[in-house]
Amino acid sequence: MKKLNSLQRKLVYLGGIIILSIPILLLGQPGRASVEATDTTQARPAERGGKLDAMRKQYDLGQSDLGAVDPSSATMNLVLLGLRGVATCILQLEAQEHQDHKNWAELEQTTESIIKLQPHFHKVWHFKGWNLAYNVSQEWDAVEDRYFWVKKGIKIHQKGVRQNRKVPDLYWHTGNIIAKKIGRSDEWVQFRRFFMKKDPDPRFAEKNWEVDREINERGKDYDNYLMAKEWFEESMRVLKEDNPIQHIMAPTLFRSYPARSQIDFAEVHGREVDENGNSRIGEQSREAWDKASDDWIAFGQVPILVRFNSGEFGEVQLEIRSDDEYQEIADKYEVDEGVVKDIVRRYHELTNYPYWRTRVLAEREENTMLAHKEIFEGQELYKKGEFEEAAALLQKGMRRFETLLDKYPQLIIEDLTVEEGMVAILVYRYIRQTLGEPPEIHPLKKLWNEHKNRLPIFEKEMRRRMEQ
Amino acid sequence: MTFNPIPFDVLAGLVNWAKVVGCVFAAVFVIAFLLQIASRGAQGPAFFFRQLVASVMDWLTMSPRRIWALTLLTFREASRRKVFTIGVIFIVLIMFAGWFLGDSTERPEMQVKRYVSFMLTTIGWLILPVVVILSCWGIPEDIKARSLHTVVTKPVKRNEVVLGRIFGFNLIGTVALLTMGVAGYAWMMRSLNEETRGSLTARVPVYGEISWLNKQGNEALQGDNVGDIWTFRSYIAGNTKARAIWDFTGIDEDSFRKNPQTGEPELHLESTFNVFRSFKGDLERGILARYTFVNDSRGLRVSVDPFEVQEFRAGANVMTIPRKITYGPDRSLSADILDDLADDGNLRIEVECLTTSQYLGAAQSDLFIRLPEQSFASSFGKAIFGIWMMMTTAIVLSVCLSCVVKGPVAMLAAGCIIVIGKSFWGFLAKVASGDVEGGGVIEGIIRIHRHITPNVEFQEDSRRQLVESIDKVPQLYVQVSRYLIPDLSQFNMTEYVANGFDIPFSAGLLPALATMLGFCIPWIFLGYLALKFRELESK
Repeated sequence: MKKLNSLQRKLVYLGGIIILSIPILLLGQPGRASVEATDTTQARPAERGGKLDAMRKQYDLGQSDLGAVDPSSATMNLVLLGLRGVATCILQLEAQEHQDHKNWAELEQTTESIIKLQPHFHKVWHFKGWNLAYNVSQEWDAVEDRYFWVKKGIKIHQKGVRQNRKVPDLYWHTGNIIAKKIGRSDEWVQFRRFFMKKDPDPRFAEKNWEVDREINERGKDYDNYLMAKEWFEESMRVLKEDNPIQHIMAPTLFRSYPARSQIDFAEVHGREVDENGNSRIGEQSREAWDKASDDWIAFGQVPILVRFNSGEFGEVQLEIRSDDEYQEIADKYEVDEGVVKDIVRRYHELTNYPYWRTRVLAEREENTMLAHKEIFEGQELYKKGEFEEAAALLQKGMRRFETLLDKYPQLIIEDLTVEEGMVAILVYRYIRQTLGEPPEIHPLKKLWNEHKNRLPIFEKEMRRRMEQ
Repeated sequence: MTFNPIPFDVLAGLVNWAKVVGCVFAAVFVIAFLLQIASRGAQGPAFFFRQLVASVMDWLTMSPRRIWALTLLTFREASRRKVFTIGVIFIVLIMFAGWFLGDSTERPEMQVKRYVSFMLTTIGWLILPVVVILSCWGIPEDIKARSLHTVVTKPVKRNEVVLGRIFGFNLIGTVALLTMGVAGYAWMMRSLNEETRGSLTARVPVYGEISWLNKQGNEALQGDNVGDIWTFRSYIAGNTKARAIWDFTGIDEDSFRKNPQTGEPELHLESTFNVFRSFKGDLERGILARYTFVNDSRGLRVSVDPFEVQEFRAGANVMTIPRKITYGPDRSLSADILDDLADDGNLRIEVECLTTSQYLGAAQSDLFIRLPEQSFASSFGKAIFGIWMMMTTAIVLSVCLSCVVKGPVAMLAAGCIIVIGKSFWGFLAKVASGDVEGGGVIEGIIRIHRHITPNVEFQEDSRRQLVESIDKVPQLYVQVSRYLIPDLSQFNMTEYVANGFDIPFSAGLLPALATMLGFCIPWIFLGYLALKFRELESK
């Protein structure tokens, strides 16, 4: 090389580059799917790409196989020339400082940058989305502002899903925030109104959307629990079709979420009033419970892969109604019936299956729906001072409640059921006392006797409800 | 904002500056004097004083014409080195900036913050490396190429060489900076939609001094701590005697704005209070606060209507109060803010929280009187001027370092000083003051070795005293360094502009100007001395 002049050396380097490029190009040559003929173009057969391309496809390693490719994210990673880790660490520190100093716009921008640097690290999407939906939202005082940040958190999850379409965790987390943050937080009344009826941002009204269709794709009046259910169902689909691994919880519990969301949807009718202040309990809520019972029992019939103590693998299910069914499974896998019962019992405890089964079956009945409705309306009349009408409705409702507890005695120890019954009794007793009648004469005596030692708790709850 | 804009104390700054510069120059002259004695023996002192007089004469007889000629030469050289390709990088950045700056469905004030922060940060970080590289290589390259030998044989003094270089690089940097500033401003105007452009404003605030009363109504150093990790604000409890009190001075007719409809003068009071709820309470109602004007000398207390605090909503908490306030049970009484409530131009406003068991958080900058707005362009221009001052400081530092050492070394040294000054000066000041958890260097090493966290106190014994004594030596070094490294964050005025404030002269521009001049003047002298006594043949 020393004898070569500058130009000759450069030509040698160029030749070397070309020679080394040939195998790289051959190995990495992209393939092409077949193209069908159209009116203007001819059909083209599929072309096999290089070895690397084939392997990328085989193991789903291409960016586009993981999800939508974000050009800004790809640019950022290329420009950083491998310093992605350093940049991420610096940005994380910056984000923390922005959060501490309540610089929300800067925090959001830094969050976006961190995500762009790690578009396929699903924990980052979840962590950042969660941070905005839960931690940042509670820093703001106005409920409208809090909702804005909850939506931001949900949208980050949704974007994460688009870029990581084979990660069931992100679908689940999206559904979980839509269900729990919107439906269960302290601001649930306002959040649900914003989600279903009218978003506080006037720009959605201008579009005639009323609600933010980015998070509520089905539009006005669609319930957040039903939207969450769709996300949970999607996570099940991805789990089944694309990626059998989720990192959140026990698989059986994970599978229960679509049905649980339907239960939440049915349940919310009982604690919510419509625009006119009337109870939402009615035929619609009964139908929701009916669907919930179908979903829950369908969930109970999904086979669960278990390993018996013999080392054999087998399938059991949560919905087993008789000893004969236990025996059938035991015979099939040649194990003792007690072993099967023990395994199923553990899964029942894990999912609280028997309780929810009883609950959905009880709630779908017309008698139960009417019991809730009459008790609720009786209490509302009491608040208005219409004592006699209130007492009549409460008595009717409590009788129905008694019938319900007689049919489903397991519910007599369930907290929400007990609370509803005891509060109804207390209101009824106060009315009778006010009307100068002996308070101790009322239905639901058995429930009263069983739980009267916890009276101060129920009295507190009654006062809370009456002040609402 | 995340800081209190405190007016710069010129006199205190000048005294401090004179002390530090006096010490540095005294050290330089003593060392030079001793070196001359060591190298020239008995003739050393005479030579030293001759050179000192010659140096003074150099400055007294310098020629602006020659400096301008060298400035132009530097400008042309830098242009030939294709320095303006920085513009291409800038154009590429703003072409794709939209990808990273979020969507247009964002809230206007948040969009504005993003765009302004991005633009000013990008301009600052693009211009600095370019001017540092140019400035560090200029004089060493001249020496290497012997072109400086030709220059110094002409009747050009070395201080003129230094100044010519500085002005030349500054000129080229100024052209680049102005171009980027104008292009950046135009790009922002084009990228933001009409609604968002309305949030581009430059509010002119008049700040007051804050003091506190505790729940019992007694004077307190600050309000309650509600456990917020950031202690910038402290809190007053609702429905108690706790108050945050602002004292405004210099209130006169100009502090009022005319009502556009009636033409009546009004006081515009804006607040950026925070809220802390000790329980959720009524979620659909905000926390109530109320202003009370107090004139103790006349025994007057006039409260205005309460208002709901809208937290983090820039520009939403503005209360317009007519100069003549009616108050009392039937609004039968009236008071003039300027004549009755202000005492010789001093206006006191008490702020209380009216919602029981909830808290109102405040810092000094959270309540201000709003004067008529300045244009956003002027505020943006001031921020660009701040970057210009930072660029000038960086150029002077780099040129002066290049008078002492070769290009790469000068670049490394200038780079370190700029990075520390821009990003770590606060940390440096904290270390120098000893206000860091975990002690000094040796204590830190011991803690790491023994796995002791910084919040655990060391045992009080002789070993601890020994460690603390040794740690004082590096701490002293850091204390000295703090005075020699400029705090470049003074030049960053992004937070004012991004939050929609005009940049005040006394708290924004003046400290930056003082920092620039305070460092540049001694650096130029030191750079000149280094070049004057440098052996040019020594490459």
